[in-house]
Amino acid sequence: MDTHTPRPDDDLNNLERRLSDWRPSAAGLDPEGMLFAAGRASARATKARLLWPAASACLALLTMVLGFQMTAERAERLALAEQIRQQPPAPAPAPSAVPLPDSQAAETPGPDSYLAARRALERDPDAWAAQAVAKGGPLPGPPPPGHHILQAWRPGGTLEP
Amino acid sequence: MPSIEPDLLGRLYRQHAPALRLYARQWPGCADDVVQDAFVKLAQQSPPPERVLPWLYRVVRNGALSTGRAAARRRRREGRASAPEAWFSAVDDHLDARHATRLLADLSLDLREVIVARLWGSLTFEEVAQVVGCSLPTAHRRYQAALIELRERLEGRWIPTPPAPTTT
Repeated sequence: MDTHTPRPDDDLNNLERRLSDWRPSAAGLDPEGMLFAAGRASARATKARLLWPAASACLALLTMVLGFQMTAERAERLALAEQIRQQPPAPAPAPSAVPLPDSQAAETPGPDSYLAARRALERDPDAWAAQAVAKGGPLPGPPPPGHHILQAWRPGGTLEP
Repeated sequence: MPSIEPDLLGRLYRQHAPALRLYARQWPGCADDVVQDAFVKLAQQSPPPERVLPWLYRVVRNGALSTGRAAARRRRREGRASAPEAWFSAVDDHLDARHATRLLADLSLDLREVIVARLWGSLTFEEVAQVVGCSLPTAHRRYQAALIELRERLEGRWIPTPPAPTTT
């Protein structure tokens, strides 16, 4: 790195020597200020300085793309809603000729079911008992003596049956 | 490649900044800022230029030209001329600094920038030609013409002549 090129003296005449003795004024020059400015400029010139502008530019671009997509999608949705609004209403479905099965009839219990027997018992217990005898089923009698079941006794009574 | 060391940068500034400011004063504008900006740019060079001094003169010239246009416009708009200040701190016994400044300032720009870069900038004629943007013979011719004109001005024999067209 060449910072100073020596100048041959033999090409200097008297006037050149006289002029070269004139010293340019150094008043007002500030080496410390220059070094400070150079250090600050070199610190600013790092690549990290570009990080925030780059991130801001990317985010701005992303915002623009998303905004454009949102606008296009909203326009499509509005067009579809308008299209649906302008369509004539669909005709009502015709009533079917075949009657639907009666739900109550479907739920009618059979004559031998428990529910039918209970309803008949509630309506007329005597008639239900007679009907049961007529069907040949024996009426429930007292349990055979061999069977020991719990029985209620009056207070003060004997414990033997 | 590391950039220039701060010690070397400070030494270069102390050694060459006065002549560089004298060179920048050929154009209107703030010569101090132009010189400081040139050294700041030198500190940012990685690697530093091979030949620092011609590089500095080229940067100062470009900066002075760009700021000189704005300064000239501002000066025309404000309608005032800048007060001349002494460009030299020490001259010979027969001359004071303001007279020397006037002698140099009265030279045409083509001659003045060549003689300043050669005499006080210590550039070779090849470097002067590269910085100024002319051929080597043109740099020689301008230098000799500037010396003759200065000598005649110093001796009081100077008769102004209309400027001749220059070739580069």
